[in-house]
Amino acid sequence: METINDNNYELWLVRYADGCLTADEREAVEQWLEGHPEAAEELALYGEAPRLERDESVRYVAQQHTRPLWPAVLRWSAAAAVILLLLSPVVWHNAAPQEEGMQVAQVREVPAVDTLPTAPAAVPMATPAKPEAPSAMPREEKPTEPQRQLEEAENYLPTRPMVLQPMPVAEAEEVERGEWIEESGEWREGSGEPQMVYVDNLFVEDTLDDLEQRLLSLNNDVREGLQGTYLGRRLARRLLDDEELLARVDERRQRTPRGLRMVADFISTYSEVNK
Amino acid sequence: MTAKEYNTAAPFWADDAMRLAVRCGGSKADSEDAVQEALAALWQCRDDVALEKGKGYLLSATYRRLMSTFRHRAVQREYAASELTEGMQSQAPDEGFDLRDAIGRALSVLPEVQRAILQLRDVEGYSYREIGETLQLSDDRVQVYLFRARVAMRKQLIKLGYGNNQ
Repeated sequence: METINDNNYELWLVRYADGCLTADEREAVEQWLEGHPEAAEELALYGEAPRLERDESVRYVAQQHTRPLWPAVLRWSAAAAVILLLLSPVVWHNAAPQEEGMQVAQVREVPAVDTLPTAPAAVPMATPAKPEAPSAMPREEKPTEPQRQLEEAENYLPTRPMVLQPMPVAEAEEVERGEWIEESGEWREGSGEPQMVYVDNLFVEDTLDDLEQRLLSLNNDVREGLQGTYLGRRLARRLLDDEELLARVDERRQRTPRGLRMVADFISTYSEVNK
Repeated sequence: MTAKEYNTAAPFWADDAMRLAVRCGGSKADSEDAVQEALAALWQCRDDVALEKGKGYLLSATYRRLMSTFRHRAVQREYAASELTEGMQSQAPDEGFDLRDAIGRALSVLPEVQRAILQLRDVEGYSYREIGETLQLSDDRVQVYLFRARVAMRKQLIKLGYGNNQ
């Protein structure tokens, strides 16, 4: 290293204070300091400066994504429960009279019902339901998981915007299947490559504009899947508690893009069923 | 690192990343956003990041994202810093804040990179090389910034009345 001078003395003084210098180097520094009292004062200040302490009060709160992965049995149970929940609104839509000019979820636009991606916040991402899944699942757990999801959804009262969170592998990885292009009315085939799907990033803010934008950022499969999921009920819970928001949903369902309209449809269905 | 390793280690790292972000002057919301984005980035490239490098990656990514946020708000931040500095000069030491508050105030006038270095050195116990890797600085630059940070902090504390008997 270059000998100590006005340009590099700070580096030398740090090493001096750390005891990293040889005896000759220390002597050279001390000699230089005799002719530079300002630097000597800085060295004293450096030594006197208090060391920072860990502030335990500062915590990162949004840690639900870091929970351990669920055991395989529970994952399969959750996947089966979500599939059941997915199917129910489709049935409702088909049974209910459709409003004129309103597009509703149509099964033909979904590549395969059993591969709908969904991501309830407390449930790992719906993995494709394999035929052997139900047999690997204890029978007594079937009714408990949906019930638990429902209770969690009912008790969900958000206090802050939900921000981007990586999910456990079962939730986060999803195959890109394709997308319905609204403008051209065509189905665009997906690449089939695994991708991240942040379904749980959706959140009902005070305005629905944000929700709409977030919905539009998702691919069509995910939007389809929203109807019967934990998230759908969560949206319903939030919106149904607010008359004004619900009125805006009703207004928007006639003119907003398909994704939001489908959620709005689900919310209306949910409302009617729960009257 | 595997997904399981990520899920096990991330809660601990996230707290440290949050502390780094807050220490660098990030608001709670900005800090959480930075940590979230860093976690997302770490998750996406987890296969390429060894477990032992995971924390460094997260801290580095958090710092870079926070700095990016700061750059977008440079004008407001400078204004706020000048206000804070003026406020500090008129604050008497016996007006109801302790040494911890004083250190916080002294830190607030330091550049973010110097605050980050102090945090990583004092709290995380990182070596100069690790700090350099985290903040993408050379070892020499880290040591120079550390020197300046400690000297500046000590001077600020003296200004605040914490002179000889802190």
